[in-house]
Amino acid sequence: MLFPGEQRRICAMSSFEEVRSLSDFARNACSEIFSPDEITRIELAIVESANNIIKHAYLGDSKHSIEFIIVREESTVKFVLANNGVPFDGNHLSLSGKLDLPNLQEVPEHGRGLFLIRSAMDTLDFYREGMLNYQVMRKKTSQDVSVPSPLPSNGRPELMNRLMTLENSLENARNEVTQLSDVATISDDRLRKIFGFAEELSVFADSNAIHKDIIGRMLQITGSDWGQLRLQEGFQLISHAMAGPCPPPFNANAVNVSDNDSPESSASNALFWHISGDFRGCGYSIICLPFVGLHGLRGTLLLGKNETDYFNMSLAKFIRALTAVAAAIIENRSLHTRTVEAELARSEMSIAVTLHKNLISKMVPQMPGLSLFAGSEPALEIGGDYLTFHKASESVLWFMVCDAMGKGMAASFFSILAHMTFQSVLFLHKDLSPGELLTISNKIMNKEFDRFGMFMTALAGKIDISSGLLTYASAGHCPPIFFKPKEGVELLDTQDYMLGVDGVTSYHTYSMPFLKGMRFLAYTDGMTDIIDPSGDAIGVEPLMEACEYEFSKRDMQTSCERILSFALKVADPERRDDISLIGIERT
Amino acid sequence: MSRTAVEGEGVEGFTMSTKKNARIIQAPRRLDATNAAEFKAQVLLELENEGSLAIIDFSNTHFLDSAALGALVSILKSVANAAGGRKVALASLSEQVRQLFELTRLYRLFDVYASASEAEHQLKD
Repeated sequence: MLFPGEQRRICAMSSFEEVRSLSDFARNACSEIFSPDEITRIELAIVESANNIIKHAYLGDSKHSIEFIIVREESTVKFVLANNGVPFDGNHLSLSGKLDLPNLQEVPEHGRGLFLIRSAMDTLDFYREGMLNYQVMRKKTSQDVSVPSPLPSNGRPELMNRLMTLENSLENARNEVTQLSDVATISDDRLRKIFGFAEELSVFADSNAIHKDIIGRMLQITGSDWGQLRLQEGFQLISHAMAGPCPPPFNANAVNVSDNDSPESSASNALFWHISGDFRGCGYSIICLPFVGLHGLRGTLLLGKNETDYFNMSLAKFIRALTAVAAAIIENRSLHTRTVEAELARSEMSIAVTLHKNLISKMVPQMPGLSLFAGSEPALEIGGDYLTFHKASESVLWFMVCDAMGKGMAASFFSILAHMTFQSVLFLHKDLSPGELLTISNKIMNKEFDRFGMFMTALAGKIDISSGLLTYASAGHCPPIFFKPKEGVELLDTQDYMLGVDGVTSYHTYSMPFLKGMRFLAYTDGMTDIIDPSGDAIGVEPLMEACEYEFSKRDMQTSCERILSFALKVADPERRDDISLIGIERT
Repeated sequence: MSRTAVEGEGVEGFTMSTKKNARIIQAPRRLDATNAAEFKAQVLLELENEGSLAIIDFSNTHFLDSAALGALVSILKSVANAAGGRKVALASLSEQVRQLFELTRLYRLFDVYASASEAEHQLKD
């Protein structure tokens, strides 16, 4: 499920055979957002868009890449296809007028793709920015999907505010009891019991015990024989406490309802039933009062008497005031429980964060001939970005940059899974290439990724100082940036699916000389997905420009620190993803 | 009734069979830019070699793209231009495929039947 604010990304090669992976990706990401018919039409729009890119932007050449991003917005889903081929502007092209040609020979064989895209999507735009062509489509979501709130880091103030509001409502209830006009009819003893009742019931007691205690005290204070307290959430009964012998069976037909329409009854908010039949020799009276909490009706309180002096209005008002006090106590207890649970969750979260930070070492090793940098800043307390170095020997260094889908705790679990898998594979197979490492690791992790609908992008690299060779492989990860003195920066090739897409992907290994002065920068999409003032992601160009400028003036460490620091400064803290980067220079 | 099934060359799920006077061509599950050209060539070859009536059966087909639609229009044009009164008909369109034909209004150009048998029955003369 793609939640509002979330996005997913995949890269595919520019061949017709690869287009299927893009439409499958869209189908998986949107399956719970759109109807099956809408999904089919979206799939068609993606296929048509990718086919157009292959035919018109890349002129049929299958060695290029198509980047595909799906973003869940507030009421739409945005589909973005990016390419760096020949610019294509379909904004003004139309098939209208060619659909109804009477002569078969005039009916075009081509050109329906754009028409099908427009039919499937609500908006379609083409634009070019830097070296990239973008096709942006939006589809309105047909249903509201409730978003489960993540554990709020600021949950405590909210709960404390609510507790304070409850304290006020408890105080109001107490005041109400003392201000009753006919309070004179209530004995001092009973009033003392009311306040004792409110103060003795500590919020630290067990909920069920509180409910039983409340109903027991209600019987005692009001002189009733039987009582029942039912608490509900919506239509679901969540608590039921009863005391005293059951009243005679009654239902709407058998009961003589009286006084419910009287002004007094409305004022007391109570329902009275007087049962006409005999019960142990006399009639039976039941009073029903709403149990109103901070957010409305929480349940009902029923009290029964088998005396001849039925519940009167004075007693009804008194019971109503008692009910308000009891409701405040129960709400207080419920909020206290939530506060304790939130505190427990915070504590567990803190342990998890510490474990995550220490399990995956971001320590930069000392490696003669290399200058290294690693920096990462999670969006939440803990993140799905994962970077690490692994020194295989005195001359061989591995590095990994990964980005698990989403952010927060769920993403971090999978980054730990990936970390342990990579470590195990490297331990068992000493002479692997980066492509082989990703291929084997993907086979191992695919089942777990598939079970939870998780994907992960990864860039694995290996530097052999003795041979002066840098090799790398990418699983749907952002293309790395390579810098050569005097020649400047370039974006390196990447291809292949993300980890978790399927278990049979064979990852390619790219190889290049890595000589003195050359620099390699790998990063996660948090860096390129920073939102600009117009609401779009800034893309890779600003990062390339920053590298070009910094690398020509400063050392690796300082350059990377400045780039990371600037990215964090311009990124909107409310909307940003985890941001990470690794920089390596051959010295 | 003789019925022979020959696997199409390289087109997944693309089979041919002869049913009385018609050549039944089973379209693949997915007909798109990856196989539309090959599909078109194969259908035209079948019509050239095997007879005057070709029925394209879409009962297994769940996805068509514009390349596939283009191939079908091209087949129709070739048949219309050929001598010898050749015909091509479409049969057993799934809901998704039918919607696509309606959206692009191509259903007006083609003879579309509920099943291959019905197409054969209607077009036997």
